[in-house]
Amino acid sequence: MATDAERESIQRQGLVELFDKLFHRGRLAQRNVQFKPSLERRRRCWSTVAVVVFGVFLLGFAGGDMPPLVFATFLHGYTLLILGLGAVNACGNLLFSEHESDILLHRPVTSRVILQTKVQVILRNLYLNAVAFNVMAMLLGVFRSSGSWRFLPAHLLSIGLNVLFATSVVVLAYHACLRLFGRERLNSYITFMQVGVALFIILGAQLVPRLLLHEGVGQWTSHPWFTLLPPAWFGSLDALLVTLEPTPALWLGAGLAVGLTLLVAWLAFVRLADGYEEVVLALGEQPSARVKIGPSGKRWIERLADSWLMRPWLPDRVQRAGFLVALAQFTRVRGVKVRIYPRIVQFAAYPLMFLLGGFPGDLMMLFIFLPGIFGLIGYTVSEAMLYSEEFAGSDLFRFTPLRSPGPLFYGAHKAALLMAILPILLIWVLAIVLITGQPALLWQLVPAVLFGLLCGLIPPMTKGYLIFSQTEPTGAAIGKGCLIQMLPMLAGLALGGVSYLFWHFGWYAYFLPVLFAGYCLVRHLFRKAIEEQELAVE
Amino acid sequence: MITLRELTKVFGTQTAVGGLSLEIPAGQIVGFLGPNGAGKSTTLKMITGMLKPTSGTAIIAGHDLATDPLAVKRSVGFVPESGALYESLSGLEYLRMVASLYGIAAEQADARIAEFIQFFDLTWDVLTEKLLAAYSKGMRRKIVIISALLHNPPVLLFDEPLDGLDVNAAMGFKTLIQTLAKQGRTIVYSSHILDVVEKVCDRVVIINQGKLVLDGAPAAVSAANGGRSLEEIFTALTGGDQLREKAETFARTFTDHGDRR
Repeated sequence: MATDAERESIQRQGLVELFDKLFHRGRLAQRNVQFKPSLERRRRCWSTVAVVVFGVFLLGFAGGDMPPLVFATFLHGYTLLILGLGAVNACGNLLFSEHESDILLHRPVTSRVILQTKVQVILRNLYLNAVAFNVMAMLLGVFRSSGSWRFLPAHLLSIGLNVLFATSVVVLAYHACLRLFGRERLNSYITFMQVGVALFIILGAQLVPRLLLHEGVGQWTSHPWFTLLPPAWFGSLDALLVTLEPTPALWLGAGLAVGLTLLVAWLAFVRLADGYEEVVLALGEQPSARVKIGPSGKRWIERLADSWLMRPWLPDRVQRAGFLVALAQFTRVRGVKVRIYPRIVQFAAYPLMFLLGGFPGDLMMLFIFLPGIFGLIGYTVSEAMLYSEEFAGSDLFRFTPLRSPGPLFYGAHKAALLMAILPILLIWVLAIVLITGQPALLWQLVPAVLFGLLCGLIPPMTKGYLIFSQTEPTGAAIGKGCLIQMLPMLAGLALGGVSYLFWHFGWYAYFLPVLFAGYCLVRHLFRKAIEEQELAVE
Repeated sequence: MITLRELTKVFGTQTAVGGLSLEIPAGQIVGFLGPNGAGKSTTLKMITGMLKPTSGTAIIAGHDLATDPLAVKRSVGFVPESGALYESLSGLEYLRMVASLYGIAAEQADARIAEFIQFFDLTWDVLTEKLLAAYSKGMRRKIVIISALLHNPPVLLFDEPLDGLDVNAAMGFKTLIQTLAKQGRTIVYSSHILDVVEKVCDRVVIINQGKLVLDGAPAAVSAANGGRSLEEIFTALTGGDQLREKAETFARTFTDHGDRR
């Protein structure tokens, strides 16, 4: 008979193994029936190698003869951004799993043990990822001209604090959301956070270094706001341990790194542990599944589809059905939201980098890049509309008498234009007008918009495309998708270059009608190809 | 073995279970019936400690749910209606994980799992090499049932356990639970398949809108209701007594609307 201590030890070990597998396999493995558990170790090794290789790009930013504080702050800045995204995903999937209550809550294990083991797994894996990401930079930190062997242990320690800080902040944010908005809005909030972090990563990773480079590295550490940046705290800790030359500023930064990290960790994992028990119980309760009904007795998506604005745009019932299904997926299904919004926000943020960078030639680069970026957005959204965790529902389209998946796609594509692409376009319009003060530049958006619309028609031309009909993409599909995405990007760059030349030489007024005629022709051909597709039967 | 006194669960303004009292001795199989939304699953979730009762008490295998929920959970095996599993685990990984939650060491767990595999006609290859996401519905159900029985609990709660099982597996399962009851285990069996309940259970409890409306042995209940079948008694008690008439009236609307092909 096992003692209570032995029983708890077996329990904890079992839970750690469970959450570790869930962390690594994630949603992809859950839907990928070809996944072989026996090949997992090799898969993890390759994944770690990929992270190490990805970390090489840090050297491009953090090389040279930067002072130790600047060097370490750069590394921690990028590490924190990568960690932030990892922590948001891991915490969203692991801490607040929707179906977990039916599996775990009737077993003899407390919510506190569940939380502790989850946190242990998240911290350990994020730390290993962060170390792998920093391996090359750590070697540089030791062997560069102003380097020291002390950088190695110092950076390993500060990365640990960085991981603890990022995870604690994310957990606190989720807790705050649950308390403020309730469990029904948690899924929306997780998507919102992932979009926010993606935006933060792009702006932080691309824009901030560009702004800093204006002033020259080394100058900006003397700014008062420097101490407010979390990467600067961890960088200060590194610099303090490497240089062994304590200054008040370094002591302050290092003190904040240790003190604030321990404070937020205590709040997230000790103070709120009992709150987590309530959360897990609440997640297990029956959802209220409230749907807001308007005075007409219809939900908002139906009211929108029936509005005078939309009715002419949705000429037949099948298109209307595709529109309603897509709108519901875009607003309610967590996997669809997580797959679409963070990705397009990443693309959409790039133009802001050119507008805010302030370098000569940035505007030219913006207009050359815009068609490619808009093409990527159009392609990505249509490609992502193939997948949903509610894929089984698409069987309905297979046994109803539909001739082609085309009309369903057109309706869904219109929902995508409305929910994802139009808001981005509006943000770009506002950004161009407000930042440059030249509304005439908006004409340069026309090639981008037309190209984006065409690229959105590419995925449904492939055989077997049916909206929201497949599980998560497999690794092979992701790889193929990345390669295919290069085509819109390259074609868009070419189009951007050509349209910029016409603009530059004052022939743009002649170029636009030709471009529009070309768009109409290609669109006609693409739609014909889509409508010739037959509904695939698996 | 199971004692419920005035057990109540309120969600917002809606009372899912209202003052349910029951006494179920050891060795009895109780059919726990009710229409959709009657409060069956909510009651089972309260008994397993997954939901906190709003009021009332539950004593399971001598342990008070309010003061010693972990002891209750150790004494209960539960098959939830949802059949939820971690789909990114293989069958063996899942069962080992469940065993660990009951403090069963890996070697002991493997030996016990092997016995279950044999009984349920599963194979080690499938259990080790395939993720649960790739299992058929029946195989997943078998894994959920094994995970409820693995720690040999004195109280078993089944919510639609036969969902997805083929005829042979269902037959084997029914015989198994009857034998387990004879060994002294208490079994609560919730299902909409009344024929099975009538054959397997020693006692039938029907709840409607969270309240107890019938409690007795199937034969005694039938005799007290003029020899009517359990199905007829159930529909009469739960407001479905005019179903046949309603269905016939509705079927006529199909001919009224004509052929739309």
